[in-house]
Amino acid sequence: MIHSAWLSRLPAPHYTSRVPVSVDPSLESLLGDLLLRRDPASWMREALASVAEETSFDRIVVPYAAAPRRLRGVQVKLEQAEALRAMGAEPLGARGIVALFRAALLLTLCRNAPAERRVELVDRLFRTGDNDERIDLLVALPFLPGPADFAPTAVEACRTNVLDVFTAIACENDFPSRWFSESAFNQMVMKALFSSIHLSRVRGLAARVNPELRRMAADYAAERRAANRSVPGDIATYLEGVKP
Amino acid sequence: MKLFDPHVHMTSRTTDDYAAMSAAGIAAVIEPAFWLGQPRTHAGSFEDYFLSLVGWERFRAKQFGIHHFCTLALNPKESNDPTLADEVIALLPRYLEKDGVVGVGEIGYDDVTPAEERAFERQLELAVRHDLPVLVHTPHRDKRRGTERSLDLVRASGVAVERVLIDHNNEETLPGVLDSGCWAGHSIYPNTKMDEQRMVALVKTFGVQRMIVNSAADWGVSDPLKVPKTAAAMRDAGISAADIETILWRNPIDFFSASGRIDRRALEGVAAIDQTELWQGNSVLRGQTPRVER
Repeated sequence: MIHSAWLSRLPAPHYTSRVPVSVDPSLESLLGDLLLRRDPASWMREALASVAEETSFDRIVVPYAAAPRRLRGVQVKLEQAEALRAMGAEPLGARGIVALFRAALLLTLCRNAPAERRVELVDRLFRTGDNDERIDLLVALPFLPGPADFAPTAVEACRTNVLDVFTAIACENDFPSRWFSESAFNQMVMKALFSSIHLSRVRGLAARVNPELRRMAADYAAERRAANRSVPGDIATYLEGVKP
Repeated sequence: MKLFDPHVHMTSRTTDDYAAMSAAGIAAVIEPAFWLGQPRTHAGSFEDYFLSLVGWERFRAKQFGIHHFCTLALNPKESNDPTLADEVIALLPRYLEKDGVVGVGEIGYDDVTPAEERAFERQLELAVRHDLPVLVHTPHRDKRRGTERSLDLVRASGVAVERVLIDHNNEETLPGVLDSGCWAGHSIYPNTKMDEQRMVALVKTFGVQRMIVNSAADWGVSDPLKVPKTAAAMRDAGISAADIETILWRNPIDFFSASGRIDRRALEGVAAIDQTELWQGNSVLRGQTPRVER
């Protein structure tokens, strides 16, 4: 386990907690000296410890919902912003720290709960969440243990009519290309095309292109041409063999 | 003068109502969670309802330049279904933490049953735990006794009286409510509850301190313009502009600011209207030209 420099700067009482906190060290280090600040820091620390202690829906759902209000005005630092960008989350403005903290909450939950319970808890959190809560959950999915188990939740997320929720899973997210079945992945790519989302935003697409997806895209292109409508140019670029 | 309607169920109202309210000077509303005219049978129905109160309805109001806040709770009427009551109260802590939620309410008595009392007490506890003010509904039937009993329960609960607004008062209940230290709400209705002229008389007798006026408009026959109509009646009766502003704008802000979730500066400024904005890809418009005012 790697403990970064900031951990050693913490005053002793804070980390000799009687609760065995199991936060992913890399995420914890990303929260960095935000955890040293008095107000949001102690709140975040207590919330993480509380979820580590008891991995129940009630324990995670309140801090998960309260994060935007509790962390208002807290800006992420440069290295945190880069990590968030790599996760496909929006690092700037008020949402960055919220996405990071919610990812830490989810990771803490999943590391401390048995596999079958964590899937049920994460799925329930997704289904009952507001849009921002859903987006932050989808962005964190690839970083949770046993990611394949969360595929049904991620596939369900693709059925949303809310564009920002759809792009949170379909764009700048490694989850679909790594864990979606072929049919679920193909449906997602087709929905991205329908939603005028540039295919460059679908991570890992090249490795997952398959004959069925090419056929679906070719049919879609033909349908557009028949209706005298334009065909997205990225079809040809990303789905080799499909006529633009 | 800006006006505040601190009790109006906008989910049940049309965009015409929003446009008329905005034109009449209403700049902010509070929507207490309520029942829908027929009882819900699943706790999940409440989850979607609570989400719409912090989501879509806030957006709809903003499209007409109106700040929208809400109070969340299990209402007294639906507290009488014990399984539902337990499940909904268990859901509340999550929603009470959200932006735009400025209180717990409306809670209280309707039929004055033990089940209602239990839900009332448990939700007073939630208000303490989430550091939120409380909106208390008072019953239509046996109103005076019901109001006195509500005040007893509030006193026993440990919630500070200055963080409690007892609503739907009339001439019979108001003196006791003001004596208790709680705030006093008045719902101006077309026929029942309270009307503009009686409200004028109450203000002349009891003054402006801790006095609140609302329309309580909902899905029934009711009038979302009752706050501006009461302002006109007060003006006609010679009540000073400063006093009118205190009751119909400053008092609700002062009371609900105890939540720490009301931005006074934003309320005092001009609300930007931008109907080109979308909520989750959806608009309130149906082909009209979007209004943009900043």
